[in-house]
Amino acid sequence: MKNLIIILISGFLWFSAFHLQQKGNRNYFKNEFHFEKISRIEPRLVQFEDTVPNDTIYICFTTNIFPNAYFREIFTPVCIDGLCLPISVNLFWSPGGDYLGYSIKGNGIFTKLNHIPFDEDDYLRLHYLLDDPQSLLKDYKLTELVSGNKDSLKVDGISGATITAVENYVIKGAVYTTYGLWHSVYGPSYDSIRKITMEYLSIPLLNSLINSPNIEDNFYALDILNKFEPKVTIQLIPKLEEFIESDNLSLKERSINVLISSEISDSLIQETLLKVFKITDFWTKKILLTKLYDYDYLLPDVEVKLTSNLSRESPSIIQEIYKLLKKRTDISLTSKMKIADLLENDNQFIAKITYNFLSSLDINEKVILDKMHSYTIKVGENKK
Amino acid sequence: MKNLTRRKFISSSTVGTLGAAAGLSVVSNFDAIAKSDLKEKSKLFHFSRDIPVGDDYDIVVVGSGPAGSAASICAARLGAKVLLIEATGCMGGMGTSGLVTSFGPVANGERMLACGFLKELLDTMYKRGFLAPNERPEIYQKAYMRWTRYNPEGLKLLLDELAIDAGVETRFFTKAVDADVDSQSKQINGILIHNIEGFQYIKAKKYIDCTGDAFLADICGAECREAGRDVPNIQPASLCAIFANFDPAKITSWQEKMSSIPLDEKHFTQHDRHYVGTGGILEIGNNIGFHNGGHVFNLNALSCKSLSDGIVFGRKIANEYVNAFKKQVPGCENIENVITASLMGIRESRNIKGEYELTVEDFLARRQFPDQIGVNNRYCDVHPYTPSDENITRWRELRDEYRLKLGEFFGIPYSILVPVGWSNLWVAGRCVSSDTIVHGSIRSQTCASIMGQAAGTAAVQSIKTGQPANDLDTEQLVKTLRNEGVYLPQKTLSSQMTRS
Repeated sequence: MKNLIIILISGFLWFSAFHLQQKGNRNYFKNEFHFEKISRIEPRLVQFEDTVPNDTIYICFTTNIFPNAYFREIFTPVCIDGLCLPISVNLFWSPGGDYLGYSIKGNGIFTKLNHIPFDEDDYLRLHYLLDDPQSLLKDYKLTELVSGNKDSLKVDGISGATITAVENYVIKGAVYTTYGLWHSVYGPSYDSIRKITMEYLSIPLLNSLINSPNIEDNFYALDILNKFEPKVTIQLIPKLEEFIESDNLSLKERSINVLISSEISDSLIQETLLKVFKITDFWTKKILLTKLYDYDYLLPDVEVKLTSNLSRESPSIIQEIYKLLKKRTDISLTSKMKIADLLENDNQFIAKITYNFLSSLDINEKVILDKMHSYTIKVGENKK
Repeated sequence: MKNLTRRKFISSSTVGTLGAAAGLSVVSNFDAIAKSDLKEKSKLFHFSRDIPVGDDYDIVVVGSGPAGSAASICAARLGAKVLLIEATGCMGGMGTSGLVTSFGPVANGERMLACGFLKELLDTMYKRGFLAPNERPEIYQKAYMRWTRYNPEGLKLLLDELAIDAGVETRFFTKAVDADVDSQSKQINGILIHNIEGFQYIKAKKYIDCTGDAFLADICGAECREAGRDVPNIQPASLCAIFANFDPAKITSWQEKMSSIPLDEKHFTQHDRHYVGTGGILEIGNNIGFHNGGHVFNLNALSCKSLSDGIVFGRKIANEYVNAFKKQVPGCENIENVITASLMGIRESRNIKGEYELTVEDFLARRQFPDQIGVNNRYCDVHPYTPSDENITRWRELRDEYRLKLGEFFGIPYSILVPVGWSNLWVAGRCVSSDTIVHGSIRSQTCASIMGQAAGTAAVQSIKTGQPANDLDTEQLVKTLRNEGVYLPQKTLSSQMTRS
């Protein structure tokens, strides 16, 4: 009991000291991250297999339910001859492992070659560079970044020129600092963070991730929904619809995959896909049709609705719809009639693919056969 | 089949010469560059003959590179009867015959920009295994300033399939050689083509020039700017090649160091620091890569002799690279030069003067146009006019100066595709209307494809509505392109195109 009280008191004192210290720090955070909302910080020792000496990761909570952010303390030397003091930087991540920002402790400053201090633009640019998971830096070894003398590749006092390929991915004169911090952000911390977050897996956590303004957290939530329990619930469908309607192709596709792999009934999934189909853009329509293609059974209502406004669709989409409908053996008369109307379409390409599609079906209806016959006569006349 | 006499044809044509060559005084780094202007120098020979008249078409597309293939397939899908004529035996242009087997940036680090026909190509190529190893949609749909490599044979196969599927009539081994033009109304009545069957006169409602050199626009008499004639310099050309039998792991590591460890000059007959840093091999398959290295300076692509001499010199350079790689680069001990391209990699030749000329100021302002038909993020890559170290250093510096940041883009307005005053002619590809700097950004296969789709779509709209090319309702065009998946984020639309 006594020990517990000591731990709690020392934890409180440490947390208070941290908050006070944070106020005096130089902070560069994404807008979505509000450090001041953190109410509890829990240190966790993790065996990181990286070059950062400190193996502690700090879990930040705004409530006690699940982590809202993480940070690690990175200690980095900044010049070759010891004139500039090494500085301590806290790197922050979201619960999904996305970079949230950095904070430099106290009076620490970054310096470039020849001890030139970073200016404000350099700090902002560093934040911007660290926020790029696709940075070319991921493909390079440190020794490949500069030409010339590589013996002292531990700080930014290196004398060689930065190779052209990565110039846009580093702060000029601070190659090592940029490289080191970028690799700390996207190194082993990422997996550890996700592992810890999974310890708190719950519906409230999923809700928090899926509603997060951070898209990487959204991705993370979708990945969890795709791979682990709990499965998608009906309550999540409006959010998935919102993602499918978003401008981000990856988010669309992942959300559709989650929806399809969920345990919700096939009919509800197909209805949801169709609901989105009617209002969405060209590329989402293509994805939705590809997904619908995977179903052995297509709801009659889906078939009717897909064909009800065919003439308004782009030729490529009509092609995809025909591909989908070819799987059905019992296309309704209503749909066939709608399709046959396109034999008279001004767009000869649409008329041609429609004729080819209808020819692949077993058509017995005289009215449709007549239309097909008229089409062949028209094509024949055009060829004369 | 109707016949048209050659005499009648010539009398109604603006220009009667077969082929074109531009006058230009150049300093050559290879021997015997053509300097004369055939039109001025040659004696004239007149002849007349009966020329068979072929079928009528809605649209004739001349040239089937990235612009022409997109224009013809997209127009045909919109219902037009399209004839595509191509001088070589395959579609794809620089991506296939030119062996520049990569699409320039199609995204800006945040999202995919080239979302129309080109996205369909890329997605399908990925599904069929035609993209290079490690190319994936997650990467090309987002990555900043990244080139997407592919197998050129895969692109050929896919374009053949899509064109057949769309109903495009394709005539390979066929060239447009002249045009029958009403010069008063600036309208093309028909064009003269030539292939193994001889000459043929083809009539269409609309024409799209995707020759890369604005050949059709020029013979029609549309106002054009020629590099070396109207502007003092010509960007150098390069001849790409397919190299094989190397160790990619070893070579990649070496390539990254090339800025400090150049290939030894002793292997080369010409001093050219192009082979420092950017003269590498980009892998497109297992131990197969395309090589884009070395410049052919002062090549005038509008002179047949210059072009002929240039490609000979280009082959020599490619062979020099192979020898240099073999002797100097780890992993290239057994490297082979499989084939050099059959098309010269021309960066600059002739550009039309369009209803609007896109400028580097537009690029730097990240300008968005109400009539834009595409957006782009690629930096302005204007290759050095001479091989001096200063020029080459400056070239690399300029690529950084004229570079948009992650997430940014500028608009490509419709009006740069329309030669001033022309009602049934569009131009798409590297010969559109732009200044020489921003030309370095939009001359890529990516932009050519974007512009091709727009030109094909505009031509169909023009047929359906009767709107001339130079007074097309661009609001309607933008809406149609959006409906086809093209990314056009401009907030304001206008039925009037942007004009100079």
